Amino acid sequence: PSSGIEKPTVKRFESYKRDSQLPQAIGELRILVDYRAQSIILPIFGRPVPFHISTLKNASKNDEGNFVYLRLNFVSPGQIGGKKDELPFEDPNAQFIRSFTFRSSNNSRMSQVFKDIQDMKKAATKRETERKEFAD
Amino acid sequence: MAAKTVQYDNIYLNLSEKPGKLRIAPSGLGWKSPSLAEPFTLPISEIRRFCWSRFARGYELKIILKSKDPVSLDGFSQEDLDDLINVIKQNFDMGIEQKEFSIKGWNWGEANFLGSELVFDVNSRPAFEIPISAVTNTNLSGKNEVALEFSTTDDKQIPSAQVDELVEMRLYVPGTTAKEDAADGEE
Repeated sequence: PSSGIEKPTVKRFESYKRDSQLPQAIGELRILVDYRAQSIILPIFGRPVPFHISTLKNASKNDEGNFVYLRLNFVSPGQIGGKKDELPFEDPNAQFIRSFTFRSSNNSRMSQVFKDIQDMKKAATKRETERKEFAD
Repeated sequence: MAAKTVQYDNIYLNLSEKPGKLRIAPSGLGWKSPSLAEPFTLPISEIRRFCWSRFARGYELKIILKSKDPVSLDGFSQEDLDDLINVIKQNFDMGIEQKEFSIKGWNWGEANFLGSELVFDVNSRPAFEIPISAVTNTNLSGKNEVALEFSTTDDKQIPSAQVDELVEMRLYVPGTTAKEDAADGEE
């Protein structure tokens, strides 16, 4: 149901409501991809910290010597290449995490994590595009 | 209530790969494991306060110290809390602050210095904490952007469970200058 001119609304999302919803695998202190919660869980100084796929802008992976580096770029104000029609920020005056870079010596696992993150992002972007087309 | 000594098996010290035995005695805390030649000890005189929260391998009892980085003890179960409250009350006459962390999945909030840690708060709850001693370099990496680089655990005395290690974080800070008030141990 449309109410005529629609104001841009902030799309609300939440990875988890309760600690008990976090997957058991957080105990492994590794980067986890949780499709069910549409979230990536990052081990930040031991603490499992979820980030919803809606906050992710893109990811990149680089091999250097014995290590593989995974960089996650998040959506934040004032970014180069930021689209005008992007969702408004719930709190534009807040501080934003722009990126996290992780280092690992397990190349094959990181490649899988990277692929899982990209697949989840692609699927989320597709759903969002369909939602917008439907709303028009 | 009389002071007493209690022991917890399977407790991890500072993100150790393998668990050890934790002993809480009237004089302080001790942790021993086959990976350490000498047990790790913490006299009561160094302890400022205790915090409790959900962590990677169960629940974490975090000990905020007067002069050094906090000590992390994780691997507790939720049911251990009542016993811990009692033993810490009886032995040290101190309480345990129970903390709830944000698990909303948001990347916006506010970074604050609290003691020897940088805390990122989301919706008035901490989302994560970074020991300031782990920061090896900071720079203004762009307009309203601060980059923090972190040391890795290569040279740690105890083998670490951290397989994926955070090496850099970039933060968007609105306004013209990034203001940093590093408190030195006091809240």
